[in-house]
Formats: sequence, structure tokens, C-alpha cells
Amino acid sequence: MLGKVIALRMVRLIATLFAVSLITFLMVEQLPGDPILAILPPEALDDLENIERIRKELRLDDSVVTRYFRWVGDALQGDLGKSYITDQPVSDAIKDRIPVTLELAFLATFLAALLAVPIGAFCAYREGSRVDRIMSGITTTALSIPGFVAGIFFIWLFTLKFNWLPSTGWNRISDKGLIANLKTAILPAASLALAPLAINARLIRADMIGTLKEDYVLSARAKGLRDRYILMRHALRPSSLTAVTVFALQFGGLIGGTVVIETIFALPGLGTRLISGIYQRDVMMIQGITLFIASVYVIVNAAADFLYLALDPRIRRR
Amino acid sequence: MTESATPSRSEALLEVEDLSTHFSIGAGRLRAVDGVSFSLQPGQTMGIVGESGSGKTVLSRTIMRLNLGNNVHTSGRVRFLDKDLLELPMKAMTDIWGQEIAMVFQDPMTSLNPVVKVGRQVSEHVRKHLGVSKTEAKKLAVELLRSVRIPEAETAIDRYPHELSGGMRQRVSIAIALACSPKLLFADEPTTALDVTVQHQILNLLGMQQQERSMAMVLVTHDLGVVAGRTDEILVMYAGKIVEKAKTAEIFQTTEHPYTEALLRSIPKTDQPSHTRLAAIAGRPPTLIEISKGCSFSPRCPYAQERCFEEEPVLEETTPGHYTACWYRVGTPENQEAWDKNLAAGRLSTLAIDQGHIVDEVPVNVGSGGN
Ligand SMILES: Nc1ncnc2c1ncn2[C@@H]1O[C@H](COP(=O)(O)OP(=O)(O)O)[C@@H](O)[C@H]1O
Ligand code: SF4
Ligand SMILES: [Mg+2]
Repeated sequence: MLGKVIALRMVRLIATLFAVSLITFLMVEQLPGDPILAILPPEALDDLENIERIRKELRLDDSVVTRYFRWVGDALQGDLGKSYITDQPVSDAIKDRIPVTLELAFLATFLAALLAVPIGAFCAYREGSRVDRIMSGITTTALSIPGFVAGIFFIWLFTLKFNWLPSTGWNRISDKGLIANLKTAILPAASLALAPLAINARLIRADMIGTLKEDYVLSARAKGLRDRYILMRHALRPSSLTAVTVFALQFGGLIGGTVVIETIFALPGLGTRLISGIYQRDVMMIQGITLFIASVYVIVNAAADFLYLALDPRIRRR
Repeated sequence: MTESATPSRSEALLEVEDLSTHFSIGAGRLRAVDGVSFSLQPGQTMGIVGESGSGKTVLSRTIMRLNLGNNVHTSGRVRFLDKDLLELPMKAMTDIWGQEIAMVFQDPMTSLNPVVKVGRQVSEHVRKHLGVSKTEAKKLAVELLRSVRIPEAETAIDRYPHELSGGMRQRVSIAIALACSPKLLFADEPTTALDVTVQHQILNLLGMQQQERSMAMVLVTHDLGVVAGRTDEILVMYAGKIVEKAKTAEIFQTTEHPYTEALLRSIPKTDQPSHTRLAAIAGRPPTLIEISKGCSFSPRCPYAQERCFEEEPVLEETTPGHYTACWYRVGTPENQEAWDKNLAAGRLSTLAIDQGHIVDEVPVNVGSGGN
């Protein structure tokens, strides 16, 4: 039973990945301008023979279908091609930039979880109280602030006004240590965390309110357990199944969501590399990074599904 | 266990006085429990019987102060030993819950936490109340599961509720309730959600444990057949009120209230399929929101007379220890007279019983009920 469910989801995952690759390829294909024009200096553009030669060399003269399958075939073997402009293999660029992006996404998820769980649980426990209503207002506001606005605000507050933290740049853990690293990571991570924090606090609250009405919460009360214990041990556990799944889903989204934040804070992450690729019309780079981000998103989503299966004993043991 | 000398009132374990619980709801005030009084001696069993919706669950939960929500209005007095439960601060209640008074809920599927292992659910409150260590608690959990006859208790503690059958789950609930050896146990329809074959096992288990621990018990059910022979006293509830109260044997032998009589008639005969029982009383209980004058059973009562629709009967002691709220008690000449009159007038609920079948808008095996 469970095996069949997993097999079905694997099939769906693979199909989705193929769809993602096709859409990525076609979208980049639709970008205006000939990639060759981006490669050559302006003065070389009159030499048509040379252009044709390079086109052949890069095998850009093949049909769209051929190029797509070649690209996907190579990608399956871990080869995303080379930048036409810098000659850097795309996979190297990803390897080089992914640590920053991953750290930001992890840190943001961690921050969001750290705050959303107690906030959501407390608001559910005190449903309708003043604290609950105030928090509801705050989360609504937080949800309507885009991440980049929050980022700019944080820079203004913590850098310009108090000068506590650097506004841009990145310290690698390996170079400068964890503290220095966190100093550069915390503001972008906080800007990223804002939306998931607000969403999850609401989600956990709603879920908990439902859970608190369950019979087993009443029977836990009838056993003489204290409210806090019931909240943590009996109510949070079932609700956290939902929460963990949602956090995992959001993590996938954050990987892509860092693009704007990385740009604002000038961080050497995957997002800034993608943006510079776009400016340079670096087709292979755009295609490769986009495919990578989209695939991570899809795979993380699938993993979140499995996580839910793994966490819920009602499903696990069946 | 039916006959025992009734100790004086002051020794009562539980004394409920004029207890009412009303809910404010959109349509008005719902009188779920209205002026209920009774007392229970240590080690005794009280059966609370009535159709679904008569207020049994609300009554039990009011006594235990487990009614949540800000639309609940409770008045009256609940004395448990020397404590006035309704006056206690909530914090003090957590020391009474589980330790002094425990409850077994109706549906073991929903009253056990699906994502917490059985062992933990059985012993977590023991750890809190009695302050035992984790290893001791585990040992205790195994013992408790054994005492409620759960096979392979050592492995059962590591299971989740859904891995057990309904009967086993209810045994777990009983183990939970018994864990701290409470003085009083509420069992709210403990077998309603279970198969018929399992029902008897669970009831026997409850009875045995109760005697072993000389614990008092309130056994709530909609089925008079369940309490027969298992309780000392029976309290029949209708529309939030007590309509009859007597020793168990007395209630069966000298039934006085027409509603009790109807409930008795509805005990499923062993040769009938069990689903015929629901059709036994014509009509439905009142909604508890509109207060009609007169007897609340009058629309369905086969003996109802003019007076019944005008004046509400009060609960009166008819013979020592037997209380009934009815103008035309079963077994009296007045009752016979009322019956004849209604029959002659062709009153529907009277005809139905006379002809041995049930008139009900809900066609639940109407035909087979009279076989
Ligand atoms: N929290 C509540 N709010 C409003 N009405 C309630 C609530 N709980 C129970 N009731 C109503 O009180 C009445 C008695 O219910 P209950 O005690 O559960 O009956 P029983 O246990 O005898 O079947 C029912 O009409 C029910 O709808
Ligand atoms: S005889 Fe009258 S008072 Fe007695 S139960 Fe019937 S309706 Fe009520
Ligand atoms: Mg009930």
C-alpha cells in the first residue's frame, strides 16, 4: 500500500522534472536576441563567416529538438554545459555559489520555525484574546511586506541607523568563522523569513485551534495534565506534522526566493549569478541555474510529501 | 451488588445539588442540564440512563468541570468529599482530575491521541500526580495494561492507538482512567462505540476493577439493558432533568415513569436485530431550547392528560428511595384510567403501543419492532 503510494509519487516526480526542463529550455529559447551577439565583441559582428563558424562550434545550428535532448541528456549526467561567455562550466558556478543560497534558505527556515511555532501555539491556546488579535494584525502586515522592502528597511535600521551589522557582502565560515558569517547572513535571512514566519504562525494557529477541540485534548485534561504539557505534548505534535511539511515546502521556495534578497545584499549566491547571467545573455548559465533551482524546488516538495508520510504514525505503520 | 445499606448523607462521596448547565447559543438558551440532584456513596455505582441528547454527557462533564467555552452557564453545587468542586480554582482541579475523579470517554478512537504511544498515554499523568520516575512509569504502564487484560502488554506500550482494535483501545482508556486509583470514575457510554460482543467484556472489566479498587462509578448509557445488574441505583434523565430515580432492582420491578417504561420496552430482545431498539419510542426528545409548560415528555407520552400539558410534574419520593416526576405514574389506577381514555380518543402514541408497533417519522425497522 505504502510502497505503491511512493512508487506513484516517484513517477510523478520524474514527469514533473521533465516538464520543468522543457519549460526552462523553451523559455530561455524565447529570450530576445541571438546568443552569439552576446559572445562576440561588437567589432566582430560584421564577420559573418566567423559567426557561422562559432555557431557550428557551439552546435547552435542544430534543431531545437536536438539541442533540447542534448542538453537534458548531458544534464542527467551532471553536465549543464559551459558558459559561452566565460567558459566556466555551469555546474562549477552552481557549486561555487550554492553554499550561500543554501545557508540563507536554512537560516530563514530556522528563524521562521523558531518563532512561528510558539507564536502559533500561544495564539491558538488564547484564541480570541488580545494577544491573539494583535498577533493576527502583525502577521497580516508582515505578509503584505515584500521581502526586498523588509531587506531595505533592515539595512536602514541596522546598518545606517545603528551601524550594528554590515549591509552588504558575505563572510565565508571557512574564512572568517561562524560569527562573522552570521553577521552577514542574518539580515538577508531575516528578510527572507518574514513571509514564511507569518504564514506558518497563522497556519499553526489554525491547525492547533482544531487540534485543541479534539476529544483527546479533553481526555488529556481529564487526566489532570497541565495546560502547557497538553499544548506541547498532545496538541503540538499532530499540528507539527502539518508545520514540518509546510516548512519543507517553503524551503524549496526560498532557494528561488533568495534571488532578489541576494541582489539587495550583494551576496555571492546562486541568485546573483543568475542575474548576472541574464545581464550577459549567458544562455547556458541562465538555463542551467534555472533548471537547478526549479529541480531543487520540485524535489524538496516531493521530499516534504514523503516527510509527512514518515512522520505520521497512522500512515507510517500501515 | 444491588442491595446495600445506604449510609447517611454526610458520608456521601459525591453530592450534586440542583445542578444546571445552560449553553447560550444563537437561538437562545439551551438547557442541557436542569436542576439535577443526586448523591453517590463511596464504592457505589450509579447508572445514568436516557436517550441521546438528554444531557448525560453534559451532566458528567459539569460535575467534573470539563465543560469548556465561554457560553457555558453552570449553577448549583457539587460536593466531592469535603470540596465544593464548582468553587475550586481551575488549578486545583488538575489535582482532582485523573487522581480523584477520572473519566472513560465514549469513543476510544478519538479520545486517545493518535500520535502518542499507548504506554506514554497510560502513564504520563501518573508521573505528574505521583512523581514516579520514567522507568517506574514504564513498568506501571505495563502493569496497568495487564490489569485491563491487554495481551503482550510489554510490546503494546510501544504501539500507537490505531494499531489496536476498538475493544483494546477502550481497555487502554480504562487503564488510563484507573492509573491513579481514583475514588470516582465516570464512564460515559463506554461501550456504545464497540461491537456487541466486546461490550460485555468491557462492562465486566469495569465492574471487576471497580470492586477490586472499591471505587465509585457513574455509568452513563442510553441503554437500560447495559445498566441492568451492574449498578446500585439508576437515574433516568429526560430533557436535562431527572424523571425517575431508584434502586436498580426497584426500577426494573416497579417502573413508575412512562419514559422509563418506554426505555425498558426498547431494550433489544436477544432474538431481534439490535437496530430495532432505536425505533422504540415514538417521536423525538424536545430541543431543550424552547421551554414548554407542562411535562417535557407529554408530546410522546401514551398516558398524557390535560394536566400534563399545563403543569410540570415535580420529582417526588413515592416510596422510600424511589423518586418519580409524573402525574399519572405507571402502575397506579390513575394511569390505567389515562391509558383507557387516550386509547378511546385514539391518541397516536397510545395506539402505537397498544397495537405493538411504533409510530415514528423515521422508519427504522418499524415492522420488526413488534414481532
Ligand atoms: N458545548 C455545547 N454547546 C451547546 N450545546 C451543547 C454543548 N454540549 C452539548 N450541548 C447540547 O446539550 C444537549 C445534551 O447533550 P449531551 O449531554 O451530549 O446528551 P447525551 O450525552 O445525553 O446524549 C444536546 O442538545 C446538545 O446538543
Ligand atoms: S403521564 Fe403526564 S406527567 Fe407523566 S410522563 Fe406522561 S405526560 Fe408526563
Ligand atoms: Mg453523551
